[in-house]
Order: sequence, then structure tokens, then C-alpha cells
Amino acid sequence: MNDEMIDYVKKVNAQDCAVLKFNVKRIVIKLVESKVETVQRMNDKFYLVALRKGERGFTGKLDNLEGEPTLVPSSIAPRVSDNDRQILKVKESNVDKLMDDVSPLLNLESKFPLYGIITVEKVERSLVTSSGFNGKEEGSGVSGYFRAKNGEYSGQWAFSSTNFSEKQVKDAIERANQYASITGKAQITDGKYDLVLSPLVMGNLMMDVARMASGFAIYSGMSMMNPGDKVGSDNFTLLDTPREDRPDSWAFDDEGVFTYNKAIIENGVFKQPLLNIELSPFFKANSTGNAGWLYPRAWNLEVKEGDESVDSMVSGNVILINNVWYTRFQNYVEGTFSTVARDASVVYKEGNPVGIAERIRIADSLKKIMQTEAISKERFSVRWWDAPMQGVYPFVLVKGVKVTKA
Amino acid sequence: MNVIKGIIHDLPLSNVIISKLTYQGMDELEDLYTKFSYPYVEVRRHSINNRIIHFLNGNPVGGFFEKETGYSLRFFQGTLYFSSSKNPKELGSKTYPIHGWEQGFSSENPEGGKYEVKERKGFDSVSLEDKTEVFLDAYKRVKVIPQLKNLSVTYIESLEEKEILVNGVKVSGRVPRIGIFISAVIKEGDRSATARFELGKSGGLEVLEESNLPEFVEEKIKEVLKVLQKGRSFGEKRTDVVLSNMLSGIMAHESVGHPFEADRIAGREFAQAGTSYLSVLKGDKIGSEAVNVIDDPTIPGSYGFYLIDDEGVLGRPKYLIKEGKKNELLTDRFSANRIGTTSNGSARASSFDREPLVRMSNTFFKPGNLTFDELVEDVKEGVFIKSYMEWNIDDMRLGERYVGLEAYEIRDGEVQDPVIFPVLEGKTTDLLSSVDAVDNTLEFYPGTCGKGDPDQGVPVWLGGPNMRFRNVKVKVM
Repeated sequence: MNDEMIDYVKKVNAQDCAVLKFNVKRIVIKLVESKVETVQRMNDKFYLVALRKGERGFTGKLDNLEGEPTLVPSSIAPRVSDNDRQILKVKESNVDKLMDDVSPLLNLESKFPLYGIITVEKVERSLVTSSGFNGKEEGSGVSGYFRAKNGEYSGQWAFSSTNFSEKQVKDAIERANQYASITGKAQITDGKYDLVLSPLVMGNLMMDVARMASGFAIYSGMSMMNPGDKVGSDNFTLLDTPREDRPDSWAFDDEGVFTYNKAIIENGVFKQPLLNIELSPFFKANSTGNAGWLYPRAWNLEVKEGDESVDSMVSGNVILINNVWYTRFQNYVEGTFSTVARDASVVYKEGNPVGIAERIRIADSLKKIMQTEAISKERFSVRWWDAPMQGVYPFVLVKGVKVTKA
Repeated sequence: MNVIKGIIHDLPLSNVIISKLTYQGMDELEDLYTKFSYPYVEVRRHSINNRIIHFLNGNPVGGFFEKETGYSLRFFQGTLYFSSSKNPKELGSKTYPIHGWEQGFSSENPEGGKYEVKERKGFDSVSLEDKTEVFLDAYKRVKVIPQLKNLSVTYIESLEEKEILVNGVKVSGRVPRIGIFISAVIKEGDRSATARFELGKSGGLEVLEESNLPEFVEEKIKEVLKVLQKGRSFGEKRTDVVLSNMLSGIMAHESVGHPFEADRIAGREFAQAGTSYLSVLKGDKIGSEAVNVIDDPTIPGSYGFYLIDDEGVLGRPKYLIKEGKKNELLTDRFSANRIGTTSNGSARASSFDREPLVRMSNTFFKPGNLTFDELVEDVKEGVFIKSYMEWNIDDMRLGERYVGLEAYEIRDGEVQDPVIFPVLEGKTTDLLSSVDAVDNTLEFYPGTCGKGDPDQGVPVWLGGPNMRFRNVKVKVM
């Protein structure tokens, strides 16, 4: 298994060397006005190589393993674990059938004109290290997001899974249509509001929380969090879940360390920076199985469920934000940002939807977003264009969030 | 920051070669092309060679070298089909019996030819160690500033090469680029800022040498520190605002360039990068007569440079807004067909495994005749926003927001004391209607513009003069 990679590792004769191979097959179907706009079929095979010789190192993406890598001075050089195991994980998935024939995805029914993407993906990932680790695993995924257009109103929803079912697609389309069917204008001025944030919103914002949980973000001063900081409510827990049956779950990281599920933020406390081997000494800790050479990262995310129903969360005077995009930070150290609401920003008065707020944005801090007042029991596995990281999220209620209007 | 004085279209193509190619006969690409017979067929071989080095406080903390070449096939048969692989034999032509959203393509004859940006100084003409000295020198200049908590710099040398065969005609392009992306965390008392600045051009190592990076970094850090130390709130009010070249650049890109993409107006990007105010706006008026916006891929040395697009259409300067009115959209063959016109050469793909899309190149507000002093001397009270931290815009490209980083009060016609983080937030059409004058400078900043799914980022320049806005709302954070 992976003979070519084993030969390469021997040939370069480095103190530390890791070679990752990806073999990716992906089909992307684009829908516009409920019609197929493009069918994209993309195959890719590439190698990622990291090696260290003394104080010089190389990390790169290559088409093949021919040629000599160019070493550059690196104060944080790639390392590999001493794990010398062999591992082969093959996952069964009905996604294989879709790779052969996407016909079941070409005629989707929707009340309102539908726009969106369905992605079907099969990934083979192999790793060989200079410590003798030799691993290969497969992963499959099917995900989609749909934006339903009802004149000047719209609603969006998404799904993401390792297996395909027609129900997932239908449910996501139905929910997008439900949000699109809420009409009427509600006037909002700049101020603080109680917000119910949908799983799509959480998908967008938690990606940034996870990025700031990376050891490299903390090491380089580009994070609002330090280990032990209280950054959220007692009921807020954010997990990295590479061992669940979810897209982008993998058994070993890029340095050959076995992955495991972990709380990044537990009961509101930033518990676990995400670490690889080369950064772990700076934190006086062990790798958390999140390499990423140089930049450790989460594999996929989950926010723990609460015990509220979504209906009870919108029973007062709140704005339910269906979706956001274009999140940009004023200041990474303080976590201050703004993000622009899109689709249905539903204004509720005493539990009744009274209309849609236009051109609003959340302009507050990520720490404020994690001050969750209530969390729904129901959760959704989602990813979409501006929240591409796989995640399982509930609806959350956050009180007194700053909202502005353009 | 890249400064170009004067009118852009008169610049000579000094470091650019464009020539007609003789059809090369049988080669790998032609072999591939001849396998497919559809009304529209485009095959591409596309290489990206990137060297990326990250510096933290002057030290190289890691590099990333990316070298990939792959092939793509795109054709139209009832709908659009795209296929890509490193192995050209894997490119598939499987079709389905569907009548898709695309209605066809504008069929003007493709233009064959070759364009190439020549490096005056090759990337390898200086050792990596010597290049590293530039970044170390930049840090040495500012490390004595105790308020500077860290300085991160990402340095990118990139070479993009492509060969395209489209409906029988061959196009070849080669563009080297250098990008420098700087990020600094600065703390002063209970105030802090994450400051980000970008430099970038097409060309060789001369781009790094001519950037004067150490001086640039020192000037910027000191200027931000001054704002943190002395800046005071400007308060919420309606007032006059002067936006710098940097701010006008991001505004040209976000609130004019994107909404003028014809595919977006038609709805092709509705679920991704969004729609456009032009899909609902009545009439052609977007802004005041002082507003002129141009997209021009042919600017020598530009980050978004090309001469022939990825569908074989000649690139050219395009007035998107002329004297405040909508003038021309950015089109590719497919969006042009939809609106009954011909393509103006705006199709680009970021790599072998991405479909060509309608993209901006170098988008900018056209300069005027006033000097900066003349622009400011007529302002009794206002604010000059020189750089920004956060920015974003709604997906209709109507509600936009910029949070100032380096900003100064204007009083009685003179730029005065620093202002702490003023917020300009409003509607595109209101803001552009309030522009009454622009100055005679033109500066460009590099960016990576995202669009499509799978997402693809292409290099662009954002630019403009200093611009004066009358009586607009300024908020506080």
C-alpha cells in the first residue's frame, strides 16, 4: 500500500517527512431557476509533502513525486509523530451510485424557483511518514444548499451527509421554501436586538471561532481566545468531531497522529487549542490530532444541542436570521466583526412574524454570539458556499446583539 | 500600493507581448479537442506555480510550494458541462437529456494569440536567503515599537500559464505575479487594531524590489499607532467624507464591479455570491456625474492582467459607469447571449479545475482634475478615511459598510487630528449619488476576488482616486 510514497520518503532521507496523497472525484450540479445550469465533473490527484532537514523545511502541493523539493529556512519546521502503525479504512456509502449517475438529482421540485448547488464527492486520502506510518482511508459526502426565490424575498437551507437520501434533499428544499414564503417588510433601525441564529448562521460564524482556536492563530496573536478563557455561556459547547460519521471525518491527521473528538469550548470555557506536533511545545501540551502542517485546524464542527424548541425561541420579540455571508473582522484580538444577513431576516413581535428586515448586519463580537441564552434541541448537518466547513448546529438565541442597517 | 498617474488607456504595453500564433498542429491539446464535437467546445491546459512564504516578526515560519498542471473540457449541449482532471484521458463528455438554464452562447469568432508578461528580473535571480532579508529588514524597522504585538507577512511569487483551444483557435497566456499581504496587531492602552495592507503587481522580482517594503511597513505601523494614541470619536452625524484611493478601490470592486457582472444580474450566482441591484433598478442612473468606473484587464503591470480571455475573446477597457450612468456590463459568451450582445472578454478561470466565469480584472473609479488639496479645501467639516479594517456588502450589492482604520478629521479645508474608527454604512446608489468630485490620482491595490462554486479566487486590482462624498451618514462602531 502506498509504495510510491514509501519510496519517496526513503529517497528524500529527511529527519521528518510526511507525504499525503489525495484522490478526489467530485460532481457539482448547479441549479438556476430550478433548471440545471452546469454539471461539473472534477477529478484530481495530488500530493502534499512536508519535510524537515535541520532548520530548513519544505511543504508543498505537487502533481507527482518526481524532482527535488526546494528547502527554505523555517523556524517552525514540519514534524511527524512516532506512530508507525498501518491503517486501511474503507467506508461504504451509497454516494458511489450517484458518482455513476446523477439523474436522481436533476429534477427537483420546488414551490418557488430554486437556486443552488449539489455536490457529490468521494475522497481517498493516504499518508506515509518517515516514522513508518502508512495509512489509507476513504470518505464520501453529498451536500447541497438551496435558495428559494419568492419575488424580492428568499429563503435558504442546506444539508450535508456521508450517505444520500432523497428525503434530505426534499426537506432542505421545503425549509428554504418556508423561509421564502414569509413576506412583508419590517422596519429596523440600528440597535440591540434579541436574535435567533439559524444553523446556517452558526456554520458561518463557528468556522471563524474554530480558526481562532488553532494553535497557530494564538501563537501569531491573531486570536481572541487563550486557553482557559471564559468565552461563552455555560450552555455553549463547541466540538471538533473527526470520529463521527460525517463528511470530512478522518482517522489520522497530517502528521500521523490519530484523531479524536474533543470539546474546543466546553460550557463556555475555551478548553482546547487545536494543536499539531510542531506547535505543541509552545503550549506545553500534546498534539490534539489536528495537523495541518504549520496551521492546525478543526476537521468538522458540532455545537451541542440544548433543550428548547425553535418555536419557543421565537415566541417573544426577536429577529430570526436565516443566513449570513461576508463575515469580516475589525479586530481579531477582540473578535469584533460584522456579517451581512441574507435571505429571511424574520422580525417576530410577541411570537408572530411581522415581516422581513432588509439590509441588516450583525456588528458585534464573536464572544457575544457565544453568550447563548437558549439552544434548540433540533440540530442540522449543514454546509454551504460561505460556510464550507462541515458542521452540525442548532438554532441559538442570543440577547442584546448589535444590529446595524445600511 | 501601485500608483499610476494619467489616463490608463494611453499607457504603452511595454512589458507585454501579444502576437498571433500559428496553429500548432497536433499536440496534446488539439488531440483532446478533436474528440469532442459540440456547438461550443473549449479545452484548456492550465498551470499554477506558487511559492508562498510566511514571515512572523521577520522570521520565515514556513513556506508552501504549489505546482500543478491540469486539463479541462467545457462544452454546451442543452446545458453546460465541465470536466477537469490532471489526466486528459479522464475528461468526460457524459450528457443527460435535459434542457438546462443556459440558452446558448454568443458566437463571435474566437481570437487566437499569445500574451505574456516578461519578468525584468526572474524569481530565481536572487536567493531565498536574500529575499528573506527584505522581510527581516521590514521587521527591524518596527520591532522597537512596543505597541506592535506581531507582524505577519505572506509573500507570494506566482506564475500562471494557460493554453486554450476554443472552437478551433488557440490562446496562450503567461503571467507572473508577486503579492505581499501584511497583517499587524497593534495595542495601545485599551485600544487595539488588526491592520492589513496589500501590495501586488504582475511581473518578476522587480515588483518586490520596487515595493520599498520596509519603508511602507514602518510608515503604516506608525500611522495606525498614531490613530490609536490620539484618535477621538467623530460621533454619529451627516457630514462630508473623503475616501482615499484604497477605499475607492474596494468600493469600485464591491459596489460597481460585482453588480455589473451580467451572469449575476441574470441570476446565475443567486445562491452563491448573490445578485445585483441592476436586476431591480429602474433607469440607468447609479451615481453623480463625477462617477466613472472602468474595468480594464490590459493595464501593464496589473495584478488582474490578461489580453485574451479564457473563451478566446479579446480583453479591453470597459466603462461600467459613465458620468453616473450604467454603460456596459461585464460579459462572457453565455451571459452575453442571454442579454442579446457579444462578449467583452471577461471570462476567466482560476485554475484547471474551475469553469471560466464572468470576472473583474482591474476595476477603478476614473480620476478627475482636482488635486487632493483642492478636494479637501472645500470641506468645512468632514472625515478623511485613508484605510479600512472591516468591510462587507449585502448580496444585492446595495448595503455596504467600511470601518475606517487610519482616519482624520477635516476642518476648514485641512486634514487634522486622527479619528477613531469611523463607520461609513449606506446604500450604494445613495453613496455614489453623493460624490461631487474626485482628485487626479490613481492608485491600485491587489485583491483575490471570489466567486462560483467550487469557489475560485482570481487576482484583481482595485483602484481609484481620492473621492469626496457630500452629506453622508458617518456612524461609530
